[in-house]
Amino acid sequence: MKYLQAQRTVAALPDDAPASTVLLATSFQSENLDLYLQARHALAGQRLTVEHLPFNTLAQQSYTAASHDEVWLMLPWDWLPETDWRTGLPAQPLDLADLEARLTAQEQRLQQRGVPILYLDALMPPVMANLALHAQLAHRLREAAYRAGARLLDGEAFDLTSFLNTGVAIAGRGADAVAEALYELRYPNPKVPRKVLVTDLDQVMWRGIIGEDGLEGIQYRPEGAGYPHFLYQQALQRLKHSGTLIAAVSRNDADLARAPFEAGNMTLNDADLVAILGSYQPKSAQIRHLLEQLDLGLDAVVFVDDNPVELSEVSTALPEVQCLQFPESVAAFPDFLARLLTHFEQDTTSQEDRQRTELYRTRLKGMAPVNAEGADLTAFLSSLEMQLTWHDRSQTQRDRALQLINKTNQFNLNGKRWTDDELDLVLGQGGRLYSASLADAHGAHGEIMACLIDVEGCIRAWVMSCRVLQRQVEAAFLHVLTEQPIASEILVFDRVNTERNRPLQDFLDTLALDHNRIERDRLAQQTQTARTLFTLHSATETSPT
Amino acid sequence: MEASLRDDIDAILSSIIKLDTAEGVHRSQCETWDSMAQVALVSALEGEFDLALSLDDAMQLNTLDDCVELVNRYL
Repeated sequence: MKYLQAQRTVAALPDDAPASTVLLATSFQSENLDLYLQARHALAGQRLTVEHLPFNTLAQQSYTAASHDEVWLMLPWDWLPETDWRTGLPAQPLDLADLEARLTAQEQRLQQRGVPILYLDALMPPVMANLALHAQLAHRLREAAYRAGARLLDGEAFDLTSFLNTGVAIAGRGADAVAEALYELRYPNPKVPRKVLVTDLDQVMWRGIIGEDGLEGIQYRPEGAGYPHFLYQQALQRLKHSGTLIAAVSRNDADLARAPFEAGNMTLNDADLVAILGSYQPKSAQIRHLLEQLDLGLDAVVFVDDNPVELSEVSTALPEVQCLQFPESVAAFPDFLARLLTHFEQDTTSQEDRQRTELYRTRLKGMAPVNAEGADLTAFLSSLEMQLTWHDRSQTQRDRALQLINKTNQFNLNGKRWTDDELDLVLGQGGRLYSASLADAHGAHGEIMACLIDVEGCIRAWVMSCRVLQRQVEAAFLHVLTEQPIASEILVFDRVNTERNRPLQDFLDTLALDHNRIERDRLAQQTQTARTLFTLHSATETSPT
Repeated sequence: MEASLRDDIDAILSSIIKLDTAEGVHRSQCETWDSMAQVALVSALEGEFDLALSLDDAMQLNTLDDCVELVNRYL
């Protein structure tokens, strides 16, 4: 929350809002937190007055009787004044053994007072003899804070420049985050454990796309890129043993989605999941249907997916569902895993917990496939700021386009594989090979679509990477195609329904094709809305249109 | 865009120095624009515009124009 928004939030409180007072106990200038703290309370309909201690009197406060209306925000030097930047470095390096008795006494004093404490793990000056001892001291202070019942906040919000210049330890940029943590400390939100984990499969349960890479191409073993997925499966197995129901939803054919589980080589097998749903229906519809069959509420569900579009679709349609994004980078994986597990109960395991999956599997036998609408994603797709870059690959740089045509299964017009010679023949007769790259607010997706159209206006090959399904990029691509210098006024789709190209079939079914033919103007009309979601660039002309 | 930025900064500064508007106000002639208000102003600008202002810059803020010019420079 920004400053003016916080101001407006407080101003919008009704006059008769319940009021309370809190003592924000700090050893530094913390008045700049007041507005943000008041705004956090205002969001919950409460008016708050914030009081402060006289400057640098926090230590004395710890000897007084605790009140119900105080909350402490502590820094390392509130445990050990020798570590305060503003008092300078000690003449001699500190010895942790000499400090132990003081730390223990303060721990006990604060434990007895029992007031909520937020400990900001701020950067300390080098008061120890070396870096290892410095790290040990920092660790000991965190331990002291934990023992006193404090919640820890990383030191990012601490601003040394501001602290040295004005005594304000939390600069404006970090004020709201600290205020939010203080509010949560005063009013902890008791989490009701979730009971069902619904997970995506491709790029989540395993690395790779089962429909494209096949059983042999996906990675889930404890090696290389498979590691996060191996660990994720282990975490799910642990949750399953403690009674959480695990279900999978995937934009795949059902048999493809199940194949890796049935093969029996992964940590999780078929029997560990209460349901494995493979369908091209919106995931929100699949989840809703599954929960109806399980007779559980949507607020019991955590949904994990790597794709922000899918996550948005589910959170828009089913706001009760807790959505988590499976991280792209390994660096973000530990935090994801920790956050995931906090949503579920793992402390107790009864016989019933262990058998719960089997009990619910029985209930689900005979579950009919779902056929329903998902959420309207237009607003979300607009927010993605998608940029489509159009490439004419007829003359040069056609390797990626050809590779895409020859390896894509799901969004593939006919499944035909092309050789260089066959391609040369079509292009030599005046055909064109087009491709498109996609980028959005989250980053670049690379060259994700390719299309070969012959001189007669027949689309001989058309593929799209399934990584970018559900963004309407296929419709926008067709719109741009209608604007290309193609002689024929009628476009013909050389369509073949294969076992694997259901997504392509579903999309073509939304177009009013007449025996796989359509007039260019009509196609342009039908794809106009999708086109507005994209800024178009030409690879040779860099200015947006 | 520029007018909107100025309006936002005026809203921040005027609320801190407790006036209806900060237009035409100079720090040296405003009793409520004391050192505490200066600290609050810097923190508020940093919080609103996600900035980290240097001490030198912060000390040069004497008018609404100064604030607008400084924020524009950092953005």
